[in-house]
Amino acid sequence: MPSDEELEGTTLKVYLYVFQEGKPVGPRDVMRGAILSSPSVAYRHLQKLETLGLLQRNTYGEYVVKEKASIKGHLWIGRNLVPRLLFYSFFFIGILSAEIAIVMIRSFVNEPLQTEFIFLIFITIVATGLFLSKGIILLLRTKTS
Amino acid sequence: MKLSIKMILANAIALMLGLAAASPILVPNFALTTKVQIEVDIIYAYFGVQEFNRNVTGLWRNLSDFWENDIRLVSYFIVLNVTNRSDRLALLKEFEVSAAQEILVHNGTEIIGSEKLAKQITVSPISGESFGVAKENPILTDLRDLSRFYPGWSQYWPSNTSRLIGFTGMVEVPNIPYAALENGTIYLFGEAIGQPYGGGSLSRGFSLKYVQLLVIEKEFLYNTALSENQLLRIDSNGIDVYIETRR
Repeated sequence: MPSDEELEGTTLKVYLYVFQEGKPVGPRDVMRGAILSSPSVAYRHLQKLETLGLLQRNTYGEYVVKEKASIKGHLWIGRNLVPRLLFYSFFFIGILSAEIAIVMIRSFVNEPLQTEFIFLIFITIVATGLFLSKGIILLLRTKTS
Repeated sequence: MKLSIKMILANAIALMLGLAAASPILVPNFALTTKVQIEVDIIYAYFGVQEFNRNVTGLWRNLSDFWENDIRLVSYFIVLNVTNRSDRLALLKEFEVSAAQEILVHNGTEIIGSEKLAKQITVSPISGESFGVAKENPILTDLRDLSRFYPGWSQYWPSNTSRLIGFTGMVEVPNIPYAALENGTIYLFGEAIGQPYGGGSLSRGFSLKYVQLLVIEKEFLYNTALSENQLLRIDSNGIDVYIETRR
């Protein structure tokens, strides 16, 4: 299993391209698909991924996925790599929805909100905002890759 | 990266997990949408000036003394008829009575009671069923918080039943409110607060009356409940009141 440091930048970009293609690809395909400067650059990263045990070459010299890589902070959903933080943010959105429902119910029946509860909502908003923003940044970074 | 159904599903599961995690605080709040309707009527009020001879230490007032001659000890007995008008069992928690020269009740838009106070005060909007009470020259205010267990008294009010709640005590009444009492016309205010049994939001019922008292020397009476052959009995718990017919 490769370390996270090894699977980043262009190498990750190449790996994601091969993974999402779902069929054998050559260096030229990778160069076009992952928008690299030359086939030799693509070849170098493909070789690196082969050394890491994530890709393997078939009899025609094309590369296919050998093993699904575990990327720190991400989950595989089908062929998509999604940041875990995005799921955490949805978990907190669920909690925030419940808290907003409580605020609406209590304002409807004219029941006061306790200070502790207002503080709880504030914490949930901050947690949701942090997880969501960081999750989207990671998602966009992966998408760019 | 296109959004796949799997990704939408995964996010929906995370959302549901969040909702489930918050459900212990969400579910009890749904009960707040239920209410009971409480009706209050002031049916009886008695005020009597208490005079003590000088041997009664602590209660005797030296009326020739400047510091003691402007207050009177007045005992009172006020009875509220409290009815649960809803179709569910109610828990009654707080009761209040007030007597004053002027009383005004407002909910921010509607004003009931003293015209004099209505001209003087500026009312700010109050949401929901809450209301504000303004008083001038109060004779007494008596509040009973029975939200916790009170020995010998039941908070439970079955649907469409009435109970009489009594307030007894003694207060010092200064000259100006006492003059209103002597004059025989005062405002009486009564309030009860409760909620449905098993949870729900608080409901209030109140009664405000501008009454003409029957003045009998130094006793003052307002009575809409009793005929001449009836009397009021106070329960040993000091709260419940019953009407009995004389034998």
